[in-house]
Formats: sequence, structure tokens, C-alpha cells
Amino acid sequence: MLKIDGLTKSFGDKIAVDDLKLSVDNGMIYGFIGHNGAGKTTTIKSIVGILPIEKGDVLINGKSIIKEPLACKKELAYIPDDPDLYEYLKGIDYLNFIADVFEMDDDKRKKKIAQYANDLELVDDLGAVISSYSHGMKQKLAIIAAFMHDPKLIVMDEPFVGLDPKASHTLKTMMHDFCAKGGSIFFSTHVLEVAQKLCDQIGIIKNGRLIRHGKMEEVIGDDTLEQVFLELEGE
Amino acid sequence: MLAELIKIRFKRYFNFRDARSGNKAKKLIGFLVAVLFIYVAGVFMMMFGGMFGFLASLLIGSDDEWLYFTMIVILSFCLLLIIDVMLVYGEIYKAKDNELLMSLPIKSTDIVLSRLFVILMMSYLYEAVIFLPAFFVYHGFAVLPVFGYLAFVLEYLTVPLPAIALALIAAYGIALLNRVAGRFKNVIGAVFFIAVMGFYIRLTIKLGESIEYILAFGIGLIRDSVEVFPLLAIIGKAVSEGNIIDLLISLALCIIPFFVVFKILDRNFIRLATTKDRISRSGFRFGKVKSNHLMIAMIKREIRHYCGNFMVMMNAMSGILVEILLIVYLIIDHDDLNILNTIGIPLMPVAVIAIGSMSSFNIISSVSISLEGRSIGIIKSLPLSEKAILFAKVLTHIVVSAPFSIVTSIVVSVVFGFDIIESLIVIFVPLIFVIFSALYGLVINLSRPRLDYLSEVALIKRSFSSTVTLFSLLAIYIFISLLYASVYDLVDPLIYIIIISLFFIFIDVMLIRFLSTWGVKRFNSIY
Repeated sequence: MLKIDGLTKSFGDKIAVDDLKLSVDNGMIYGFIGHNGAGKTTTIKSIVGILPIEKGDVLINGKSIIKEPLACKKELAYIPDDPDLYEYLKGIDYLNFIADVFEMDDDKRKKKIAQYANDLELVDDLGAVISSYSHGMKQKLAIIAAFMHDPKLIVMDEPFVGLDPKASHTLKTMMHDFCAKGGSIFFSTHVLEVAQKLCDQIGIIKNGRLIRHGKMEEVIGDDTLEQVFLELEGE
Repeated sequence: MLAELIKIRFKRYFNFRDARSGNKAKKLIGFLVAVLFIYVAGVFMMMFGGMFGFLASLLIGSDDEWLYFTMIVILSFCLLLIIDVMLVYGEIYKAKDNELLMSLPIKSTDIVLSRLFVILMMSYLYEAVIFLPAFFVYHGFAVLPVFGYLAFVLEYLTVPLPAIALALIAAYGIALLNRVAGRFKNVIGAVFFIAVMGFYIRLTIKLGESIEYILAFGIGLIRDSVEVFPLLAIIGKAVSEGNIIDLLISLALCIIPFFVVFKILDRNFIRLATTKDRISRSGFRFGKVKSNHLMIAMIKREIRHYCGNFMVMMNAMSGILVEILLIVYLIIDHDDLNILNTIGIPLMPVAVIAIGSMSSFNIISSVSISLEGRSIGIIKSLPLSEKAILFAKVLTHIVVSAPFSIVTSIVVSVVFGFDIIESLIVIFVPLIFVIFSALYGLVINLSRPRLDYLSEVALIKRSFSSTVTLFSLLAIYIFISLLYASVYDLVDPLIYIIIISLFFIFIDVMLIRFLSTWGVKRFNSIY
């Protein structure tokens, strides 16, 4: 579903991501972990086409984000780390805008919005402007917007930040259900316990380089993800 | 700490730096803003000077000399009240850094004082527009007693205090109204703003013929009021007679109300500054969810952004405001414009250029990239081509501006009695200018976007792209006007307009091609 092939990205003299190679299979949840400034967000923004790619390529369902950006973006959804959504819109108007972009028909969008807004307990707030939302509510709205158009790949940057325990649990269920239907998820997180329980595959990035990746059980063995991560960070 | 806070607040007003533009751009914008400020101040000083000249001829040398100064103080108070309400609203009740500052070990008194100090300094600038001409006009007629000069300066320094005090109360009322008006607050605000501006412009236009009436009415009103409020006479007599007791009473009149309101504000600042707008938290019902064509959805999103904030709307669409006022003026009272028929210049090209230049006050596209701000990643991650995103912004500008341009053109054509051909030209040629403004503004914004802004209003008022777009468009229309004025007796007006139109169509086509190539690449590189 997702293949990153030799991705390199620099800002001036600083190389943020250096020759990154990884792949995410269909139906898999891939956890992407690393310290602050390791290159996680840069990688994610390159995958979803926000940052121009200097070297290497990102393939989504076999299509290149460089050569076929629109075809790739039609198959993916992105949840940013800081949900700076359109503050001037009401929640429902934002979801409608996303539905328009993905050309969802009226019945489907209504059904999907109702379903996910109910699951995340945001229905009552959909009529309010986003500027009045808390961080967690914005995060919930971004999650609904991502799931509702049935993408094949969802890319999330720190999706659990700001969510209350119940919403976190709901999101984890949504992620499992999504992958059970053949979708794939690539997400970054600092919550290693969550990553260990949730992910099928894991990648650890340090100073822009992928230092360990593979299936969860292969990467951690008998240790915890936290132990492995701290050990690698100390090297 | 207080000094530091004041410094930070002043930076907000006088910092024109753009993220990518550096010192040269900062100096250029600072210079342009200074030129504009001096020009506007000069116009107002001339206007007030003329008014005070008439007032002085009536009052100086009579027993009612105090009335001259009382009227100046009342006029200043009214002007400052209008200006300070907006300043106070932004600085006290809606300042974005309220919560940040209150979380730091800073006394709320220092926060309030720093804000009020900045408002006071700004008030002195505005007040000078009245007090300076008043002083020089008076000196043309008579000389004040020694204490009169002192009283004049002290009244200049203290008159803003009661105006700020009342503005604090009025702005609190607006904040309350905002909380209850909900989604209609921008419509109410826009209607109120247009009505006030319309009244003001009509008053200015009519001032020449009715100044005597207005002043005579004002003098009569104050004379009658003095019977009930003798303090009004004391304010003027403190200056005209240099009476020290009157001066002390005048100062007390200004300082005490301010001090009382300041103490109330200081005690309640945390509650006032952190009260949120009322938000509907329940009762959302799924109505009919309707799909839109992609381009319509994008244009609707853009329009909602501009209309989501009253100040953003007013500043980005001020050309529309001017057009509405002109339409109303032409419909209800256009006799003054008959003078244009006597100057001997064919009016059709003048109308075309005038309506076109009004559109240059609409700077919608020139901030459209910057306004994406930190959420630009959303639109870039969606399956939308860069070209579609850019041209949605251009179309938004056109969709918003064109209808008002067309209506203005129709009204102008009817009022000036243009024939069919002339009317069609007056309607369609300004649309070429509207398209040009939209494309040009977007190109400028693409070259210097600013995504890290703190205030959308400041972005529109003072960013590099909005300032450069506004001034360069005005310069272009001034050039076209001057060119016409110098060749109108050599070239047929129709030929002149056709040449200008063809030139702008050519430029529009070039800009469309430029946006499709360079613009797409440039947009890709912005993050």
C-alpha cells in the first residue's frame, strides 16, 4: 500500500530525512517512532504531498506521489499533528467541504458523518464553529474527515494527542476495523505502549535515518518497545 | 515590566516585517504607510481648519469665546470615542495574548495599563488632527492668556481619558452583543459600518454648503446645554480666560471618570478577558446535506473565511464598501455630480477608470495564500491540483467583486445618461480590471506569502503583499487617469478605452499563463 523508496529531505544544510526506505502492507498498522526532531513529521508531510520531495519517491498503491499526486491523494487521508483546521467553518461545513473534494454523494456523506460523529461523540458540536472547539474536538473532527471518505491509506501524525481516554479507545477500534477491511495506517506517536499494542509493523527513526524496522515481534523480541527504543536512542 | 509590555504592544502597530521580505520590504511598507497617514491627516486637518476658521470668525472677540474651545473639546471627544471603541475592543477584550500574559507572573494592572497607554498614545495622534488646526486658526484671530496656553495643552492631554473610559464601556457592550448576536454579528456589523460611513461621507460632501447651519446648530445646542450643564462652559473658559480654577475643574472632569472605569476594569480584567463567546453546544440536527461542485465548494470555503471575521471582511473588501456608498449616493442624491458635465471631458472613460479603481480597494486575492496560514497543509494534502486551488482564489475575488462593479456601472450609466454602447463599455471594461486585480494580487501574495501571522486583520492591513498590491494598483489607475487627462482632446474616448482594455486583456492572459506555470511551482514550494 505504501512504499517509501530512498526519501531524502533537507532544510538548508540540515538533512531532516536521509535515504528512508520502508513499506507498509495492505491491512497493516505501521507505527513510526522517534525522538523530537528525528524526522517523523517531515516524512509524513512528504508522504501526503505537503512537502516537495528532493530525492527518492513515495508510492501509494503503486502510484508515485511525484508523478501522480492527485491519484495518490485520492487514496489517502491525513490527520496532522496540530489540527489547525479551518477555524472559520462550522464542524459540519468542514466535513461537507472534505466530502465535496472527495465527490461523496449526499446519502453516503450523511451516513458516514453521522456514524463517525456518533462514535466520537461530536454530533452536538457539529453546528458550532471550529474556532470554539477544544484541541481534542478538533482532533476528533480531523479523524472523522479522514475516515469518512473510505481512503485506502490513512497517515496520522500523533493522532492520540488531546483525545480523552474514551475517544482514544474509539480511535483504536476504528483503526483496527479500518485495517480489517484491507486499509493501511501509517502513524507517528510518542506513546510507546500504545504503539506496541496497536501496531503490526514498527519503524524507529533517529536523526533522519531509519535505524530499526520490521514486524513488531521481530523488532522487540522479548523486550518492550520502550526498552528497545531507549537502547537504540542511547547508541 | 510595564515598559516591556508597552514596547511589545507598540511593536504590534509599527512592525511591518514580513517573514521572507527583510529590511527593504519593512522600510518600503513603513514608508508607504507613513505617506498614507500623513496624506489622510493632512486632508482632515485642512477640513477641520476650514471649519474652525468659520467658527473663529463667529465667536472670537465676542462674549462667547469659550464656546470655540468647548466645541473643539466636544469634537475631539466624539472623534476619539468612535476610534477608541475599536481600539479598546481589539486591545482589551479580544487581544490574542490575554491568556498567555495572565499565565505569566505579571500583575493584571500592568497588562491593563500597558494596553491603555498604547490606546492613549494613539488617541493623541488622532486628537492632534483637531487640536493643531484649532490652535493655529485661533492664533490667526487672537492671542491666549498665558494660563490659556497651559490649559490648552493640559486639555489636549486629558480629553482622551474620558473618551477611553466611555469607549471601555461601549466596547464591553459590543463584546456582549457579539456573544448574543451569534452568526448574525458580521451582518449587523457590516450594516452598521456602512450606515456610519455613509452618514459620514454625506456629511463631508455636504459640509461645504451646510457648515454654517451645522455650526450654528452646534453653538445653539451648547448654549442651551450650558444652562443645564454649566461645566461645559468651564472647559472652554479654562483656555479662553486662562482661569486656573476652571482648569482644575476641567482636569478633574476628565481624569476622575477615567480613574473610576480603570479601577473597575483592573479588578475585573481576568473575568472580562477570558469570557468566551456563547457557543451552541447542543441541538445539532442533520438536515439535508448537500453536495457541491468542487470549484463551488472551494469558492464557498474562501468566501466563508473572509466573511468569518468582520474586520477581515471590511478590510479585504473595502472596494465593495465604496461602491455601495456610491450607489446609494447616486440613487438618492446626485445633483452635486452635475458639475462633472461642465468640465468638458468625455465622462465615459472617467467612469470606466473610476469604477475600475474602486475595485483596486478589494485586496481579497492578495492575502488569500497567506490566510491559509498554518492550515495550508490541509488543502495541499487533498486531491486538488495546484491550479484549481490558485484559480479558486482568483475566482473568489472575481465572484465577490464583479456583481458590485456591475451594479455600480449600471447606476452610473443611468445617472449620467450614457447610450447603449457607452453603458456596455462602462459595465464590461471594469470587469477586465477586476480580473486583473484578482490575478495580480495573487501573484504578489505568492511571491511573498506570510503563513506565520498572529492576526488576520494585521495581515490584511499591514502585510507586504496587501500593501504593495493596494498601492501599485492605485498607482496604475492614477497613471491611466493622468494619461487620459493629457490625451483626451487628441484621442477619441472610445479608442482610448479600447486600447486600455486590449492592453489589460493581454496582461490578464499573461498573468493566467504565469500563474499556471510559475504560480503552481511557487505554491508547491510554500509550506
